[in-house]
Amino acid sequence: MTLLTASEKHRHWKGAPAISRALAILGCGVASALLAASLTARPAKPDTAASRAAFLNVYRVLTSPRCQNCHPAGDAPLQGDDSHAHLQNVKRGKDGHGVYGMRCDTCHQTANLPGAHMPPGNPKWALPSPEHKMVFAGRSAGELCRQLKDQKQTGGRSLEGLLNHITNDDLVGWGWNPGEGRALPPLSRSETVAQMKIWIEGGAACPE
Amino acid sequence: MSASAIVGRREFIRTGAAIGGGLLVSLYVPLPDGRSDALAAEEKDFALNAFVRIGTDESVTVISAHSEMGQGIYTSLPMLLNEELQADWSKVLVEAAPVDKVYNHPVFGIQMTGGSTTSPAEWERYRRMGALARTMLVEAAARQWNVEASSCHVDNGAVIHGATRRRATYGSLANAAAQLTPPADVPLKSAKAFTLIGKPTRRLDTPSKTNGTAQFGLDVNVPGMLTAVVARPPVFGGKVAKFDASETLKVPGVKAVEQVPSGVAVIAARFWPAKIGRDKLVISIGIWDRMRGSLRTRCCAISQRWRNSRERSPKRQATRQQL
Amino acid sequence: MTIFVNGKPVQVDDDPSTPLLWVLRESLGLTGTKFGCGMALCGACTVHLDGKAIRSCVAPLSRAEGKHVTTIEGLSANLTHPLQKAWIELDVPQCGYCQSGQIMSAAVLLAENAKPTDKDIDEAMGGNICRCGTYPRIRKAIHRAAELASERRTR
Repeated sequence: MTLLTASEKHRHWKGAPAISRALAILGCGVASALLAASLTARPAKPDTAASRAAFLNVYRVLTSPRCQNCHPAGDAPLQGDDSHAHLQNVKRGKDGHGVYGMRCDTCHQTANLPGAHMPPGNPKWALPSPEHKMVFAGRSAGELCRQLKDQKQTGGRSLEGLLNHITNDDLVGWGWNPGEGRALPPLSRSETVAQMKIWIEGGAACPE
Repeated sequence: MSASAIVGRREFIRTGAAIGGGLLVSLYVPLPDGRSDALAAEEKDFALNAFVRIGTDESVTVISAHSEMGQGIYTSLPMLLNEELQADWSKVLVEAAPVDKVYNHPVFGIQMTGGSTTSPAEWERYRRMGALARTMLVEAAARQWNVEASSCHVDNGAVIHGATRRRATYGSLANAAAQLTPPADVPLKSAKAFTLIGKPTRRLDTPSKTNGTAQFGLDVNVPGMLTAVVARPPVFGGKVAKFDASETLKVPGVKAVEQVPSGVAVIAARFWPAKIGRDKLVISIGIWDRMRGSLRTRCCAISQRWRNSRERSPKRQATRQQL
Repeated sequence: MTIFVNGKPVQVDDDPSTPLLWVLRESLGLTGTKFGCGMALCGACTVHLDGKAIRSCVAPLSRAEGKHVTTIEGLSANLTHPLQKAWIELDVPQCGYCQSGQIMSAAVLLAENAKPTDKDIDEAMGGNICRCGTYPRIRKAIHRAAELASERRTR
């Protein structure tokens, strides 16, 4: 359990208004536009309980092997449905793409290769950068929730940015098309997006 | 031109000229009725059972009867041979032997490598081949100089006659030596006189394993060669019941699909079409009933024996009584 | 399709989905690059694509179109690359099957890091496995090659 500083707590409480401000300014993407529409129509008091419950669903997805394997604690990616450390001593590197002759695209192609246990692939295959590691693995629901709302840790990505990442990012989408022999996340992508919206709309409440 | 001598009950030495000049020291194995297949063979076949080839360019090529698998025999066998030959070590090369009876393992009687047996098994044969070549090179020099062979000695790839300060390299003597009749037997050095054996020596195969030129089994290519990739049963004892190769046969490059004892083989001009074709096979695997039956029987028998022994164990009986 | 192999343009007519390894080995006769696992697990098939290491057993030919491929045969003429010199000096290989891949991975490391530490070597070489277990000599030889390369630069 991470201890929060006073300023972090403060920011959390102010989370919801910050969202609507950002949305009004950005209003980017279909998903965001829809969200904005729903936000403007929302009741005056956000449904904190629903938000918290939705986050727990999102959390199940984020900590599924398909998501957390590329969001590891430390600097080695994880592999497999048991999220073991990636074989071959693979490292994050300065740009999240590995080191020397051990870069992601040394083995990973732009698409999954056919066959069990073959390297999966995507044009963007990489870990988050070392500056913003966005660790999912080993985080409690509360810790991960607060981390997602901390723009210092997300590299300036707002909640809308995160929602956009989950909704539209091609590499994130790979999680639901992981190739032979890899379990899918517990919710579909659209279900995950829906739960994420509920979480945000309800004030991005965090479980303790 | 070649000459031969008997060295053992089964092996005959043969020496002669190599194609393109030089001395070749070979062995051959006569057929059971006393005829020799090797003697009857063409000169090119004679080259096939060589153990060492001394070129007019001073090169000394040692033919390894055993496979190099990292254990170092591409270096240790030439060391054995050159301990007696005493050629310039920097001129020594090594080559894999072809398939021939003369290269059979001296102990196991088939052409094989394994069990850490190469060096002990070849300990004498390779030294003998080297000694034989050296003896003939010395003889060739002695005849040329009209001196006694016993008054000559060898050093680092050359025959030397100290009294008259004459020196001739092995390469310059190789053709003359090839005309001589090999001696029936040659004495070998005593271990005390070894100068190469027992001395740390750099591997002969390192350069070729550092620039991609070393040839491994997978690198062998012969004209018209096809590649087969076999689909093997996914379970122990599994056997092909039936298979459908219609999609496989549509893969460009696939030539044939054959059932083989170990599964189904897809044969193609190259590896990749064979592999893709193999992946497209639809195979129903039946279980080899006899195998399953015998496994079950054996398994049950073992379990029963284990249970019986537990029942009989004194400790268990003692526990029983206490209860 | 045209690819550049060891500095020379070559035309290849293999299916673009064919792994580069088989184009090199079978179409171009460059058998120094080895087939190990076919699944990018062992590193035996490592070659350079525009100077970066790739596992040629899983990289489709299409990925190399118009690009420069360097194989072990093209690393140097006459064993003059510092890695090859060091490999020979320390008698690194045993069976030798993995060594082309080991050397190609090490070449990328040295190109990007002139004086690698043991940790750098561990990270750069983790994808190349050796059944004979020549790792201690590989490590020594990479350090030695770095020395040889720096001597060459200062000379």
